[in-house]
Amino acid sequence: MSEPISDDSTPSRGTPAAGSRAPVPNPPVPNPPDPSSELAEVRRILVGPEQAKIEGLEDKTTGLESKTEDQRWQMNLVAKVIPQAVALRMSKDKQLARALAPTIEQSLRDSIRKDPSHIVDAISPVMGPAIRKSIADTLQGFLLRFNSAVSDSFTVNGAKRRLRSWRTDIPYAELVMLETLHFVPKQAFLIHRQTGLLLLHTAAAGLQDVQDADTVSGMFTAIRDFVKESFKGDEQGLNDIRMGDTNIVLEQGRSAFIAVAVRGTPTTAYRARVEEVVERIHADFAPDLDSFTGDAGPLAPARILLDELLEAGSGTAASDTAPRHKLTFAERLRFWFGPGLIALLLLVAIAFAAYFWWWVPRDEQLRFNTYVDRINSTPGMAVTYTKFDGGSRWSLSDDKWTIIGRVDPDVRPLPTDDVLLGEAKGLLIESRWEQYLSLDPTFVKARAARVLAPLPAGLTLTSDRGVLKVAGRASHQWILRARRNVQNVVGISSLDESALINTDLESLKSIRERIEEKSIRFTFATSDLVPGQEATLNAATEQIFKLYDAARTAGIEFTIQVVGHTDSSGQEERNIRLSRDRADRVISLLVSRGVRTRELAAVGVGFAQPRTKAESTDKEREQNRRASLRVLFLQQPLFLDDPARDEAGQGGSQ
Amino acid sequence: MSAISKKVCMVGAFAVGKSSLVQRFVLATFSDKYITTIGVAIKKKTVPVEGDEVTLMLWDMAGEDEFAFLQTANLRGAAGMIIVIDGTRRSTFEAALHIADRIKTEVPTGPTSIIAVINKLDLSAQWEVTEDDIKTLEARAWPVFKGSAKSGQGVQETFELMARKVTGR
Repeated sequence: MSEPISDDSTPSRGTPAAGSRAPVPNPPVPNPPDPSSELAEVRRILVGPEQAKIEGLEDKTTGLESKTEDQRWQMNLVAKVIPQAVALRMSKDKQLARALAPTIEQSLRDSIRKDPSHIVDAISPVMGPAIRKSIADTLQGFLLRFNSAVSDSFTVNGAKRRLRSWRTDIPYAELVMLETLHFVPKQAFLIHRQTGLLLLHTAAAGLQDVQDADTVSGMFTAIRDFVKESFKGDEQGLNDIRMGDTNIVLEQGRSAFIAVAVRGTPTTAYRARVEEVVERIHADFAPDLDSFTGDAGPLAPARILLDELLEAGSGTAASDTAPRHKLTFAERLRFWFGPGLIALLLLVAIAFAAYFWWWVPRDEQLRFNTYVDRINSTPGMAVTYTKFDGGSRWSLSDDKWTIIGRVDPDVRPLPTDDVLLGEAKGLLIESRWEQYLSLDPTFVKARAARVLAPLPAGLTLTSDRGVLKVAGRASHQWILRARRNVQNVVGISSLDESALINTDLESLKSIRERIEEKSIRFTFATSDLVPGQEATLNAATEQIFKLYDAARTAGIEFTIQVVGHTDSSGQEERNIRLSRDRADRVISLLVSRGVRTRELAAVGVGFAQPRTKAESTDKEREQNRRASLRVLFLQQPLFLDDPARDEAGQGGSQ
Repeated sequence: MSAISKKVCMVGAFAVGKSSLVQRFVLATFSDKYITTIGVAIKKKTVPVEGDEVTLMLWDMAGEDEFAFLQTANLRGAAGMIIVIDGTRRSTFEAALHIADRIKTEVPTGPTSIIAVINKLDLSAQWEVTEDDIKTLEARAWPVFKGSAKSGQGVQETFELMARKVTGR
């Protein structure tokens, strides 16, 4: 403590006095007991040195006493002037402060070591608010970032961030923090608190559209004052102005404040940095700030500090708050190839999906359709129902097709699967066939042929719109059966027989003709045959036997009328009797030749049905004396083709 | 930053023409349209004073009326103050005195250079402010200008005097 003070510059008022007392021990102040005495001389020789020492000691004691006195006097003197002296020295330079610093620091250390409670008590009124403010700032900063993170989480930004998080393996929350921590200081103002005048302004390089800094700083001050006046806030006043993503950080000093326009949300650390700069400016430029009257020139050197604030935030704030983790080779690889690889995989996946979801089903469907078409174009076959059961999309073998169709029993031969399937071969098809009757003419005909079998040789069937046309020759029995059975053939409503020849009917007709052409003559007025007619009777008998066979074959019953006739001479009554006798006579002759009596009937007609009505000659009269044969078939329908003859026959048989 | 800057406040009752005077001085324009100033509007103009340049930061304060009192806090640190009076409304003269008194008591660090401007000289025929009133103002050691923001009369002089006063020349 003493050294720096006593060196040169302060010739304080106390020092001259101290200087005049300094050379005390030097000249021995004489105090002679008896100079002439020998004894004294001897004593001087013997104990001189000791005496001198004792005297020296005495002198010292006296000196010390007077020195103590003197010091007390000096202390009084210094105590009177020390406050003014300190003030005077402090106003001149910082030497005193520098000199005092180590001592004060040491004292503080000692005091804290001894009992920290004194210091704590002393500074707690100051520290309390400072700590509270710091905590509040930190919490607010966190809240702001948290807020922006939450508000981003459901936006495109949020999605991007999620993707990045997934790609970089940085947890989402951390990424949000990293990104929201990104902020860029744009402009910094140092503003005189009282006047609102701009002291310094600095803007980030390349910043466009800078408003007049003087005006802006005036407005900042006005706003601060306004807020403070209006809401009676604490001494700190307004700390933040926020507008969109621009934040204005205001940090208050004693005589000036700093306003930094920041894009993004500044960190607490940055805020602390601004505060630090405010403090440093106040420390370094206090006199200039205090005596500021509108000339900001002396504050120009402080620009470096302000510039630092612009640099402090540039780049990512994350770099100084979060530990940067080093990317491994794999991560680097993923970083560069991640997006490409993902895109490629995505493409492949899309291709696969398209193949399985679109192409395969489509291809299968097409193949199946050709199968269905082929079935439908096959006569006698029809598809009534199809169904697709896609199993798992990833396994073709699970795809199952179901088809329900109808098939006419007359599809002969059934087409083989090989023929029908074609391209559909390989598909898993479960088919079920139901029987049905096709109205296709081919199938109607086939069905009829089956019903009418066996068909007589040479017979042809044609089907046209429900009409079955039969052409050729057939027996009577067959025709009867055909008429009966054809009604049961689906698709046929009538039978066209216009081209059908009944073979049985034909032979019956020809036999009948041959029988009916026979005529047996009688002598006049008797039932005696004119001699020589044995051959005729035999021939008739032969034909009748043939008729038996033919009628049996055709299943037809018949009657043979033997009709007796007379000439015109004589009474009619007698003639009828005579003609009846003649018929009986012929019957007996036939029976004698083997003809069955069952089918024979004798009819006498007299002169009612003469061969020649006129009887102009005997010859003609002879011809009318006769018996004729007449064959009557009993099943009418067969003879519809010749009704006139039948009617005539019937009419004649009374 | 070598130039000196000074804070100068425009005060007065509402609609006396504070903003018009500032606009006339700063932009050399005038508009008949009346726009109420809310809070404070700050404009800047650099004035040459004896070879030096003084930047006047003009705090154009919202006019005071029965609804809005002057935010005297805004006067803190002001080097100068221009009190504007509307010559055609005597009430604005009284308001001016009242405002000045309030500032004096409420803002000890307030402006020391004060100039009074009686505006609307272009309507001098309708003036209600009398020569006696002007003497009252001068008695407070305030230079008094009669001027018109509309014609520009007296505006330049007022602000130039203010520039000189605040720089002590």
